[in-house]
Amino acid sequence: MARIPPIRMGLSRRDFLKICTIATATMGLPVEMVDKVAAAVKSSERPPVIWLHFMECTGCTESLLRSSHPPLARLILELISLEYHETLMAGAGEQAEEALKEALKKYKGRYICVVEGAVSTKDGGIYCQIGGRPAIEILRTVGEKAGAVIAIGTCASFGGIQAAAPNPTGAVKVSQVLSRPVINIPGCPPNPYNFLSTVLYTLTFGHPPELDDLSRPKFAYGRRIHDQCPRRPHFDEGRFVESFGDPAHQQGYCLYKVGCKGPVTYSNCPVQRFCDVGAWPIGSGHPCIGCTEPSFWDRMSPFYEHLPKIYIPAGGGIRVEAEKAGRVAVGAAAAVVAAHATIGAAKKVLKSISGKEKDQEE
Amino acid sequence: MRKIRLETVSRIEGALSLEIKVDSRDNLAGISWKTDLFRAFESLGVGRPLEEMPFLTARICGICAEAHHLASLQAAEEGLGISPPEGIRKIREAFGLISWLRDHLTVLLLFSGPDLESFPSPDSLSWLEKTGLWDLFLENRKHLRRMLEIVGGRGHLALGGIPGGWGKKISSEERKELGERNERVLLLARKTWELYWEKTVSQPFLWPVQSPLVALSPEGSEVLVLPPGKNKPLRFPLSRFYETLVESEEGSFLKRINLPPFGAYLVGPLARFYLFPSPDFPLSREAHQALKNIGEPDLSRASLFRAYEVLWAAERLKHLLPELPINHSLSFAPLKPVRKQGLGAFEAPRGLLLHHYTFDLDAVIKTVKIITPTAQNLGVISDCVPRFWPYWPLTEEKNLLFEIQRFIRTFDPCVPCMVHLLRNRSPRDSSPEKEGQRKIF
Repeated sequence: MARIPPIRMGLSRRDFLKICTIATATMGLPVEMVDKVAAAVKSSERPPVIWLHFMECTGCTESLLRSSHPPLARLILELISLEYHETLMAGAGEQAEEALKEALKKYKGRYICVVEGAVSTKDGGIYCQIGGRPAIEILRTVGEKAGAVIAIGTCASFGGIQAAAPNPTGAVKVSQVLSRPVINIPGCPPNPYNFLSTVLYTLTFGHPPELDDLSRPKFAYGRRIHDQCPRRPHFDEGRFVESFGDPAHQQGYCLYKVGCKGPVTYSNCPVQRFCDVGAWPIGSGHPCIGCTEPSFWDRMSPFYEHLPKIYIPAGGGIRVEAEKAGRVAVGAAAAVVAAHATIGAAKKVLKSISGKEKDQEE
Repeated sequence: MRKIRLETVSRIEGALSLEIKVDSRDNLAGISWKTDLFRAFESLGVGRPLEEMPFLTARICGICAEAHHLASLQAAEEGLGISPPEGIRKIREAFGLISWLRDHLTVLLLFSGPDLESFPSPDSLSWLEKTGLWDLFLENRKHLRRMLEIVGGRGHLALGGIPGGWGKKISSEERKELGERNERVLLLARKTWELYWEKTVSQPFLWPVQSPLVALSPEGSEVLVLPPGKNKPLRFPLSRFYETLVESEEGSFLKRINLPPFGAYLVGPLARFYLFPSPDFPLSREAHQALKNIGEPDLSRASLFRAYEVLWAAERLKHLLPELPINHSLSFAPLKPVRKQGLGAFEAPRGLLLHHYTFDLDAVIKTVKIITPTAQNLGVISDCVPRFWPYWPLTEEKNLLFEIQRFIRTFDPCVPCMVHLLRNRSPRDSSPEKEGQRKIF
């Protein structure tokens, strides 16, 4: 079966440049680079992409296709040559498997392998199979021969929800299966601009962007949400939401005390917003749940309790207070944040005292 | 005896395979379903705070995330003894309707659309471009995502659900924007309905329904059951209906639900059409009348009922939007359960969805059970295959597989929802653990 054919995108030049500009800014590059990025998109051969779905909810593909203004999904579909994508392709069974084999042979060493979802390792990987083959086997075959491997979403990057305790299927992240570098674009769901910018960066410069210790592009995951948060001044001044719906919540104060994990979460959500120009959790009055971080379902839960009080479900209805895990995982950052919050609160008290003194003087 | 394997069925959500056994006279000797993806969501929920369930269960499926979010929220609220105010109910209804629109349009225009053509069907994107709806479809993806974002706080995997309330306020400008965007959605809804009507209505009846039709009553407190050949539905209180259901395993990792004494039953757009009252809105009323005139329930036209629901949802939303509260006050109910279990129900795009949790008095989850629309429809799919087998082309395997896939897709199955929820094990799995076999979780 032939690959999914290119579609007439009808993307206007204005939209095209707009996307390139946002992507360039996302990469942290100066505006002068926009032309270079745009030229790379136009001149280069469309990179072949094999898109694998493993243990996931298709939320990453959905998020990508649900991108709004500008029409990002169009550019992504225009930019890449999608050779294999289970959800979107017409063929099934042997036909689909033939398409995969053909693409592997034709583009050996040149294609980008995008993986959505975690990989089951328990019992020989039988909890995730495609066409009768365990995902772990497919990933080894496709991943090792790829020019680059991108793990899109938190499931592929870090194991995600199925790897949460008690991890009944032995789900692991993509990089745990492959003996080669993997670029992680975490998020539940991930921001499509971070995916697009990573591909564009690689096309423009011929090599992947600089990565952090968790293999995430630094341009997108190099700074804590807390450090870029528009509510940060409230934190610094000790103005906290104490409970949902209180006057402080209505005023848009800091959500740290109602569980915000922004202080230990690295992502460009506050700047990029979610899915281009849209809203994002903190902007909507909801605490960050730390979805770009490893094991966030365990480490960041309970979502509505503030750091560093972290509980890990131990199965059978038991919850264990994991002070040690908390300290190791997020404890250092949390301690700094807690100290900072105390200083902010102290400043507030001092201000109020000095205000009272001033009133008395007057 | 020969075996025909289909690995995997394309253009459905999730991975589903099947093996068909055929004897020397081309009679169907057996069919076994297999899914290759099992995530054990019912295990993953145990030990977690009740209030996190709406977020956790939304990850069961990226396509049905909103439905799980709402059903889970309702289950939590029942346990906490909370009833959200009228304004919040309306916001949630709007949220559910937008998710219906987004989901149905995706299914109609990406998944089942190519099935309107003869074999071999084109791929989804080429077909969509050929219909002339590609630009409008993409434009509407944008509108619907933005609408979900306005109402849910995020375009995907929403953050609105707070027990007793809704975490995302809607400003008057946003409400106006919702109305404007919904007009564009309504345009696509009309075009989609017209396309499906034109392509489907002249086709012969192929797959008549012989199973009871089941749907949640519009007010949400009862379940309506319409046995075959009857005009008046039976009414069950929601909790009694849930307690009556019987779970069993079908194939590998698949959950099948039966309703004694009827056995298999059908949920989804077709069932809702025959159980819900006629709409009051102009376009959907006209479509409703047209559908009434075409005859008895037939699965080969299931997509037409889905297209009708798109029209209805867009019109219902249009009438609902002016009633949405502006900048409602936020509140977060205390998480003190008044009972140790909660049952939530929602008419998801694919049909009735049930979430049932038990928890302790600290609101920590002890058990999770989720009954999805596809799990309920699986029995009908399985029972229908032998019935329709003699009418399918047996000489050419490719044609046969095409027909079977087309048949499966009429149910719009969502496999991840169904399989991730299987109870942990069955008695036959008690053999010693070894490589390649399931173990006890």
